Amino acid sequence: MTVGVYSPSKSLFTLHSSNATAGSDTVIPFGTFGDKPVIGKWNLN
Amino acid sequence: MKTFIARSLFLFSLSVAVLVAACDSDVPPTEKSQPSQPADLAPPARFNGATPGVFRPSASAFALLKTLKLEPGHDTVVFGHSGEIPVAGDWDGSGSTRVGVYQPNDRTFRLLVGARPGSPVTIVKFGAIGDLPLAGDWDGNGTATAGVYRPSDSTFHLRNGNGADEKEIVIKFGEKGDLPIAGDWDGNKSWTIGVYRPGTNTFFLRNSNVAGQPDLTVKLGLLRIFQFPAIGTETA
Repeated sequence: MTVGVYSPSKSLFTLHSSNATAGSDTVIPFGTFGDKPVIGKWNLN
Repeated sequence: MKTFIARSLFLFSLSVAVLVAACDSDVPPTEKSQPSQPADLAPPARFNGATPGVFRPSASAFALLKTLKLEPGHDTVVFGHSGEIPVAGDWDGSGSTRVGVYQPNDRTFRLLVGARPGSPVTIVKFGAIGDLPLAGDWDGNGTATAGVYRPSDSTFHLRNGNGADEKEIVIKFGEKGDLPIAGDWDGNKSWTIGVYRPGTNTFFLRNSNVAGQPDLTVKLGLLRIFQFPAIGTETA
């Protein structure tokens, strides 16, 4: 697992590709004002 | 001013506390995605099926992305109430992550043990006023259990079972202003602690749940530094 952050002001997830400073970021815009982030393997279907 | 800082920090803490992503190591860099062009987002394969979701207090529901792209969309799970903090974990060893919420007023976790509303709910009373909730598979047995981070003395309190008399593992880690995070950083199945230091945009991670120096230090890109202070501006 690797770290990431969520920016509430932009409703933007930034998922880092490694647990080192070096690495790439995957940026995913999702959510709306007031949302709070979670992450997981949901497998709802 | 104090109130403003506390409020900003609180809102911010809700946002980064539990955000981790499963990911293969040593992946090559890819092109940065543009937020305005969802179709260009990076392919999902790199993150082992873990995808983001959000808890929307105004709707008392979770919106969980199906992939790392905005299409084919998200699933909605109605659960939780305004004022609660979301958590997520594999509560029953099903192999899938389920949602849960923490009610700070009465320090109670409610964990949805199933994919849909109406599934059984596990209730865990745990924590003190001001604690921030966590969840993780601390002993690597395949099921996630509750934990809290106590900012007042920078301690993690972890439980390996959800019973009321479950023993607490207490670990001092981090410093004032840090926000907690947990994940299986080294891929050994056991989830371990970490903190995020907003001031320097840096994560400090442990590979075991005992006190000690950070095993991993991850400083995110400069761009992020300018994003987080904006949160304070918004809540002013």
